[in-house]
Amino acid sequence: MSGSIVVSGIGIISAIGNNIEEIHFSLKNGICGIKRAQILKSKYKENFLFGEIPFSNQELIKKYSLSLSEDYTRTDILAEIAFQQAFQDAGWSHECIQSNKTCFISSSTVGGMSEIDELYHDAIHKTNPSVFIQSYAFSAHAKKIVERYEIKGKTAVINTACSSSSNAILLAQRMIEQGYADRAIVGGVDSLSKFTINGFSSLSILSQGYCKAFDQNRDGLNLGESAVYLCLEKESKNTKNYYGKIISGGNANDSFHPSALSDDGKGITLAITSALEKAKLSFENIDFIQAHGTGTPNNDLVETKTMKTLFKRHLPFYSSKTYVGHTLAASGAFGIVTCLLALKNKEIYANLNFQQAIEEINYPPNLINQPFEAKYAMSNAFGFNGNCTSIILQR
Amino acid sequence: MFIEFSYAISPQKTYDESCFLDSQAINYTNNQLQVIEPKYNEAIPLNLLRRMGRAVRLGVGGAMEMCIKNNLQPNAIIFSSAVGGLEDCIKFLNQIYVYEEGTLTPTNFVQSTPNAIAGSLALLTKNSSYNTTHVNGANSFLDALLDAQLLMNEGKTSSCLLGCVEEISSYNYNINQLAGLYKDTFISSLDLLKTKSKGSICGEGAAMFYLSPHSQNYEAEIISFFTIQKNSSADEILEEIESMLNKENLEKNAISDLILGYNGDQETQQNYDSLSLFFENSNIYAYKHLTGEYPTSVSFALWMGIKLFKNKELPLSCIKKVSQNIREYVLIYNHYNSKEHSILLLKKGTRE
Repeated sequence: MSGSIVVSGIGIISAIGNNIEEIHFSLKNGICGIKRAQILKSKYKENFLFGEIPFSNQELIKKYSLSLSEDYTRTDILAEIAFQQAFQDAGWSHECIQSNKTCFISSSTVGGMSEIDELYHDAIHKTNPSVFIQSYAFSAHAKKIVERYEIKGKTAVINTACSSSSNAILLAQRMIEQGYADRAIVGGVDSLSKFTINGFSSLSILSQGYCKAFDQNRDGLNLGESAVYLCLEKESKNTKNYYGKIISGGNANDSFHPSALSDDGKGITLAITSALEKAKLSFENIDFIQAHGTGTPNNDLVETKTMKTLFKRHLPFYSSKTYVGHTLAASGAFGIVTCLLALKNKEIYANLNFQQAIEEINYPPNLINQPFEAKYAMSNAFGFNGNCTSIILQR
Repeated sequence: MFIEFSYAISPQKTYDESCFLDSQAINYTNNQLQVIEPKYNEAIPLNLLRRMGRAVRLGVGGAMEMCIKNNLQPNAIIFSSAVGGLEDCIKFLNQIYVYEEGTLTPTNFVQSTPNAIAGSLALLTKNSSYNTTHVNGANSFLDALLDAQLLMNEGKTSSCLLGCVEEISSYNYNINQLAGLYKDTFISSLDLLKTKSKGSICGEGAAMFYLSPHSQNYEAEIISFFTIQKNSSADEILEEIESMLNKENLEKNAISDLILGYNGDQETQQNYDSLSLFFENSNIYAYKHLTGEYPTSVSFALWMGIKLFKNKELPLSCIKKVSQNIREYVLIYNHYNSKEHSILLLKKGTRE
């Protein structure tokens, strides 16, 4: 049954665009969305660059003419925008969304912690709850969407850190393959939060400048924010204009360290090989990779080393994080969207901010936005606590 | 799907089944029921244990206790938690505010993410297999069960560790109290089901299950399960349950035992009352006076259902009604905040 699930709609908002067309334009023209943050409230906005969506919550609500209750956090607002876009892009009616054969699988690692000052207040004070009192959970954005759109099909919310939305897609694919659903809206959302900024900063893995993924002199990642939802459905004679197919995926745990990858890339290797096995494809079939490529010394070394060992050839790859920063739970789905755009438009995107290959590996990423005809792409996402996931897409 | 082994850490001494079942249930008077943990002596090296956040310790500790005792090596690790390591999360928040975003220590940050539980277990046991974590509020546990089923349906996974962890801290107690979930006055937890006021009391727990797609030697079989995620009347819930029973060719009288999520909140008990009336010939049990209320407490109900099949005696306070001695099918119904409903149907296993 592999190969029968198509992506028929995409909703996406990030630092390089507010919809799929704008994102495609930015990717094609190598436009980087990483900047000094304007909206974010954090001491670190002077020290680090961020992939911020350059609109305040009020501006977003106005821009998209949203009518939302006051308990919508930034995470909830971004999710709502991308969710709406996705089903509209796929041309799905409200009836279709409310069918019990339409499942909704989301993911978030920050959840309502985007409103961190209010969370802190509500956690320690016994009076005057903030408007967000019921909105802090990882699942709060999903519950709001379920209620708003009266979703009746199966819902789930995944948190495997930075591979969350890739695992959400893997779960949606299984649900459709096995007949638990005919359609899925699937993806993830994370907004910038003082919580994650201080977290990554305490681990000393935030770059002082732009994330230089796969560069010899890389010095860390940029945090970003994004919401990405894909509409998946079984391919039928009615599906006409779609972005591409989700073929298979592999999930494995590196079982090495809470916040670093093993030298031998065990988890990555297992995720990639099990995705290939499930798709009945071999290493030669993959034409390019959207790599996890965070720009941290550890990730990029292990990831390139593993790609070089497994694929035994220099296949083109890039990291979409060089455009929007690391968007955490949304990053897996974001990377997959760039693969779908590349496959559909017969092109490949450049890995930005790159100068020099990692010396000991000498395996540089793709550096030019150019025409590129491909059939199969792979998208990697690795998270804290060893969670590695690899997804295969087809034109 | 078959449950071969199960294990629970709860505010009662469930980690030692003989203790839980024979002695009097433990009473709490501060509206916060915290778990009683085993010592994890053989399960986790002491130096690792000391560094674990509470949620991670409950999850990894519970899983290790079950796996080591029964020599289990699962092919998949799937966890569920509505809030994850909230204690660590707020500890890190405290650091952010106290040190005004200064130089912070990352331990609390890394352990606050819910996937730290499944990830730490994989790391400790060098288990590289399928590993994921569900965080869909009160539906997380049954979502994780569905994930396990989908995975095993593919035919390549012969066993799965399904875990569920929920921890309370003064912080989320505070948040939920502000949101109106708990009673305004302190009560004796064992009197919870007799109270006539609004709100419940807060609890926590960890439950572990070792699942297999094929088994000859098992504690219980999971026949069917589903969640409903909206305010639903008793009639709507009953309609769904009847349709499930129809699909399984079961009469309502086949349900020997019914476990309900009574939580002492007089404003949200109607669905439980209606089910009690409908299943007039079933034995009826409640459990939240032992565990307190928490989003994924249905995992404890599952553990308790399995104990019923093993013909273990439950604390008398759990029994709301006894009608019969045959134990064949256990039906579990629980809702959290009236919005998230869990329904689970079990059949007696081959092993007592």
